[in-house]
Amino acid sequence: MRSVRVLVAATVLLGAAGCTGAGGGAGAAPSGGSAARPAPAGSAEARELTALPAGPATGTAVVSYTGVGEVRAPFDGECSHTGDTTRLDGSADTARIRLDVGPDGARLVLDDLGLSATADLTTGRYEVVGDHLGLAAGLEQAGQTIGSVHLEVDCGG
Amino acid sequence: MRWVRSLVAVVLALAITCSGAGVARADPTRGLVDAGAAEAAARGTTAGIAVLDRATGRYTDNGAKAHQRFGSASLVKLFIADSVLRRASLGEIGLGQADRDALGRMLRSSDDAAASRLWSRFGGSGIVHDVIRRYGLHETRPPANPRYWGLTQVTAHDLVVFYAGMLSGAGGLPAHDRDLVVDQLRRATVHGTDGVHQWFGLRDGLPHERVLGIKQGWMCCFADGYTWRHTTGLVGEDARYVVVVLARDERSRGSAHTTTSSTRIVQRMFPAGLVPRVQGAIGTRWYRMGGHTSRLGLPVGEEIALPGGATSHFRGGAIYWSPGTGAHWVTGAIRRTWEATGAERGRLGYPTSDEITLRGGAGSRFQGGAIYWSPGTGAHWVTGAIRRTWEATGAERGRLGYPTSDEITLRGGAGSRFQGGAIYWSPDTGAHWVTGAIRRTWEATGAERGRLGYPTSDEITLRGGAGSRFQGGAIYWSPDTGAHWVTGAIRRTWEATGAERGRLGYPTSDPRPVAGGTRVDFEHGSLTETSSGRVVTSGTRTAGGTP
Repeated sequence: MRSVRVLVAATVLLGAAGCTGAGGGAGAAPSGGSAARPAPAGSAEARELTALPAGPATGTAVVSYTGVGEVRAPFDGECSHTGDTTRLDGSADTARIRLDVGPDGARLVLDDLGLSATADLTTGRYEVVGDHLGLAAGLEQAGQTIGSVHLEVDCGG
Repeated sequence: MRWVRSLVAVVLALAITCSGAGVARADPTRGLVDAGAAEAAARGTTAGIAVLDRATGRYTDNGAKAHQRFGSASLVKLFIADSVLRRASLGEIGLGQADRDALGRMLRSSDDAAASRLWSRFGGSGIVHDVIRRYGLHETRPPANPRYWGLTQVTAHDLVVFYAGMLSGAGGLPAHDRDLVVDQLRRATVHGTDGVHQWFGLRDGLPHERVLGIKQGWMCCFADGYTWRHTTGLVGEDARYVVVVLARDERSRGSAHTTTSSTRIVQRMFPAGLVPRVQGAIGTRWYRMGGHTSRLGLPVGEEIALPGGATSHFRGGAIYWSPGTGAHWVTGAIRRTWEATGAERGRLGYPTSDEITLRGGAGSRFQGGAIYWSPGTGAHWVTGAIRRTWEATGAERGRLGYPTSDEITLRGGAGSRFQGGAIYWSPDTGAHWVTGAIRRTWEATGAERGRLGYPTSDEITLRGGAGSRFQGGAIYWSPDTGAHWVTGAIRRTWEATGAERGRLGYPTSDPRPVAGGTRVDFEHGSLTETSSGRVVTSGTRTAGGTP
């Protein structure tokens, strides 16, 4: 399992080095105007993440904002649960990142030098295998896609 | 090399700065930019607007807002492409095919992943510094956080400077790389790779432009509270026009509002759906006429240089300009008649007036004459002595009315027909008009080719009638007698008697052969010229008496 995680993390970082394909990253962004927008994340995604152990979180984070750029850096933080809501709270380089995934929706708050943003997550890939979370989803605000998030994080130390 | 670029940048900047201040001069683009700014204001959108006509060097913007910094969003991809391609051309970096493909996608479809990849690999904010330095972008700033390329700060003014420098090569981008960039902009996809419709602004606002390259920018929903929609590009096959509209709204208004603002600003600036290819005096004339709403309508091409002047053609006519005549428009039948004479290279030369509305028709003056039109006569040109004679009669309002023919070349002279008569000219006689019964009588003699030849006088009003003199005689008319010609010894004898006021009165017949000579009858007698040349008077009676 460990080798799988290393492979995933390596893939993300290779992307950071400019070796990804055209899609580059989360892949949650629609490819054309007529594509149906993904639905907001909700109870199914929240249920998936409840399996994550609480505790220290490490991995990689790629948070991209349309027309702006991206944070693509190792993630270091904490996984926790409050009721049905799972929270990942930590930092990627200079960016402070907090992700809450609950039955009522998922929200990502990023606070970085020069940029602060709050966005809702769409459905996408929310996979928990053991203590590893693989997440790729779109970021939306006021009904429009403003970016994407891609996390490969191990929780629980 | 470096000082050359610096010099070019300074000259360009000065040109832009100085031309921007030249509001006192005729500036057709000023009204357009003002209209765009008014649209932005009406919609509550903050917009920086700048337009450069590369053919004339005329730069126009909306003042302080054109120098206000906006987050670049994807516009910075222009800088990424420029810097990366230039450094690759200098051998400073290596660009593989995958990199070039990514660069194409980044420009064409505003691909963010490609931008992030090139940005992070080839210098990040250093790219912006590089472009600032080479192009002299005094208002541009790199992003506060180097990982967010879209937070680069740009102005409408600086983007015009960048585009102009990129196209001219002043920034050091090789021509083949410039062509690559321009080609990608012209192939901009309807949607960006993020699915956003990226034909707002210039593309949607200029549907009649056949060749248009665009680079758009959009971003939204950060703590700054704004929605950003930028539209920039190059208009025309020769990329003659650089147009930049940077737009921003409070996020609460929704991104659709800002997107619409961007397009409407362009539409207000160019309501015809294209950038009018008019400039200078011709442009000033066209805009004063009402631009695309005028009777000339939309331009159909670029300005055409002519010997001694220039012209711009429109759907509904043309404007011709020369230094000596200024700019004047011609249209319709008058234009066709003028062009049939050879237009500005023909005998009429350049127009010296716009079309003038006249009672019952219209006219245009030219360097070498004039053309007059009425629904009943069509358009015909008059020139030289014939024109002067016609104008002396009151022109189209005089007894001759509108011309019904162009000037006709005749043996030994020329003539023009009018509704109410004709004017004939020869070098020896000058131009004189003939009309009515006198004209018909003269034409019955063979007109200028007959024995009477060209008229040597206009019609002269006489007591009880009228007369016209010709090279070979005269024609006299009265209501009671009609018009008859007299010539030679009979005419001289008759005039010696006092002509129409003498004892013989008006002629009542043309000369006719009789036994022993030629005879002309008059109201009060006859004159017969015998074969020996003697003139014999017969049947003379005094007024009120019996012969």
